[in-house]
Amino acid sequence: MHHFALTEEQRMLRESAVRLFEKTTPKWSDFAEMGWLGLLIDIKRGGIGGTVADAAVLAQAFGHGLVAAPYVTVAGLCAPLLCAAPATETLDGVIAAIAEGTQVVALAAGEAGSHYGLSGHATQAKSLPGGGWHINGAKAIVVDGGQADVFILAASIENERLGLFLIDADMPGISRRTYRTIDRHDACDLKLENVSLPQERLIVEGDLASELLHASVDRANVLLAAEAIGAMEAAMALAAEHIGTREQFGRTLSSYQVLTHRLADMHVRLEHARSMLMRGLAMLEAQPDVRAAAVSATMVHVIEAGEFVCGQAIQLHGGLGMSEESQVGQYYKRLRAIGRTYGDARFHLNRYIAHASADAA
Amino acid sequence: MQFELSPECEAFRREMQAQLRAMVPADMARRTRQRVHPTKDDLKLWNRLLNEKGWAAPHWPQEFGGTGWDPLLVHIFEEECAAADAPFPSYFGLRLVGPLLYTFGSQEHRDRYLPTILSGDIFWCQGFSEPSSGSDLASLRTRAYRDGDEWIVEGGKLWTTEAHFADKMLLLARTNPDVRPQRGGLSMFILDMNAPGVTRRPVITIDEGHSVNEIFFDSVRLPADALLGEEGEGWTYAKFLLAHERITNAHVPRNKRDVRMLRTIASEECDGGQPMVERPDIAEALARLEIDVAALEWSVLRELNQPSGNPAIASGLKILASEIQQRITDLAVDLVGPAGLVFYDEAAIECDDPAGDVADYVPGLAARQLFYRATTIYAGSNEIQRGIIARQAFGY
Repeated sequence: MHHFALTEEQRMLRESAVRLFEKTTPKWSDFAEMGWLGLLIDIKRGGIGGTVADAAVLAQAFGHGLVAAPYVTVAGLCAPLLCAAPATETLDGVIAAIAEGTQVVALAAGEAGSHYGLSGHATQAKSLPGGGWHINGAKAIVVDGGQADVFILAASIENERLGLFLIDADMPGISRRTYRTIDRHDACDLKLENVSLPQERLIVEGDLASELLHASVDRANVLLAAEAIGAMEAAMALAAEHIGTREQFGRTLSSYQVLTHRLADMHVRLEHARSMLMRGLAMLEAQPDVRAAAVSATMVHVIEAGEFVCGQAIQLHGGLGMSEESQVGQYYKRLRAIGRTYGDARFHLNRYIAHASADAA
Repeated sequence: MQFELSPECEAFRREMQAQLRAMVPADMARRTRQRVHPTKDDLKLWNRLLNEKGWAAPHWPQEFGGTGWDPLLVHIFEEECAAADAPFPSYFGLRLVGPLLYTFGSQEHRDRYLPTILSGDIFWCQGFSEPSSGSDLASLRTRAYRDGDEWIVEGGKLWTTEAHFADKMLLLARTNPDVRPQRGGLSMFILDMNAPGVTRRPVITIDEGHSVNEIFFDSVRLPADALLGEEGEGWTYAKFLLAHERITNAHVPRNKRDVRMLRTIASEECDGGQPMVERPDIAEALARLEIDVAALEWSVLRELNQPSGNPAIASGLKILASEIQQRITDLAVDLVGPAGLVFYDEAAIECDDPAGDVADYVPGLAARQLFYRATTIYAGSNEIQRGIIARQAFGY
């Protein structure tokens, strides 16, 4: 039996987030204090032990509040990925540090020309005779990587199987180039030249690594979808307020049916996207093919709805919506960024097609 | 109907292609490809280079400095300018003030301003839109009062493109508040942007670029001869200009160039080793854009060859063209994948090693996509255009 309503805990979670975002520009340490960074970490390992649906409630509030923080990357993607890998002392340390807010972790998977693919990495990990690894290669457009202390690095072991490695940003041989993204997050490129790693820095390899990576990115996608829904709600509310107050040709804009019908279409798209967010959440534990198709179906819907809702929020604001000072444009840019973090609508439509027979069955 | 291009047209195209490509400096061509907003230096230099050939305003009548080419040749010329990656010349002097002056202006104004527009020595901006008057020009609040022979201007303008480049403004202001704007309440003026009481403030747009401005007039004194044409004719002149603007805003030459560039990007960008152009969804999107640009071009050619004088046609061109421009930039960003996330500032755009380890056509694409959200808003929003079509074509 599905329950679509928020639980009592989720309502409280949402309200605490809304209150925090109304008050100030929140700091990373605030998120740690509220327990949000450890939401998807087991209680035994220093976290809260919440569900992905709980995290989605929070991500939606981040979207609504337009909070430019790497919350989904760190707490929604990297933390549960590390928790699912075979435990080691090093991993336990990083996981605890995430929950405490003392370390930021980012996923370094993409490379020049890899588009949104998660396999076929040119970055090479070479096994050393006495144990340990040598890593050489380059990573590009690591989302939220500018401030990261630690990276989960995807590399090809001996040119044949995927390995996920844990590397520190300040290790010898690593150079980082940090830059801004369109939505005022940051990203970085990494160069890795003969980076030496101890043996236990390989956290998982082969088919296990591949499945863990895909499952983690799918979870992150659904959380980004939640953030997108929050941003759409806020942008739509701004547009509704604008056309209710702005006058042109001696009438408020809301007296023009073409404009109120546009708002109605935005509402319809948003509600269906919200349903697809819930469907995506429901399918995260399904077997990999089914999950992949379902998450991509969610993303196609949410990304296209986001483009429409936030794009039309700008259109309804007219020139005012084009100003960098106006909030609607910022929501639009966040939606654009979400729609190309782990795949755009075209990518997800093709991915859905590739896995569709599984989803249909 | 009879459709064939004369051999003269083909020879003209070849001639222009060769000359224009040799005229555009390589660094200017690169900036034109990458930047969302042209630099003032490039606009000035290109204006001067064109003027040296006598080609600064091919669309003007020959007696005022035009080339005497027929509309088809002008179209071919503009297409070759775009193909050579020349910047689109600064719009306001050449497209608005020039035609306005040779159509309605005094001989004195023509003699004084037309040569400096052709040479590019004097840059113009258009002072129409205001904070509370975007689509609704009739609600303008900026006032011009008579003070003896002179005028005093109070008020302000918003979304004034290239005001930070401009020496002069074509100003639309209320001269008679007791009369409806359409019935003689508005007049047009030539305003010196450096006059005391004129303040400019940059308005940064969502691409984080600076092309538009807010302008404040604090008791700006205009000389008697600042009035353009007749007092009270501002509405007539504005309508004359907006009709012009909608045809130029079809931007066929630029759209054709941009679609060609899309195909190049689609062949070079790869998704898992496969060129993007081989992906069925990309091939279809690209084909649809090429087909729609062809439709746009033939609609413009029709209108140029046999002007309908029907505002519904111009409005339809504006709708189609603005939507095509948005789709082109949407697809361009889709083609480069995650690189669409990266914010490239102006310095990054001209650097040889852009962040994200990307090809040199990438910087600027995302900013262009963002700025082009404005195409369905400016020059009369598409909602306004649809209203015009419904009225003109069906009487509703």
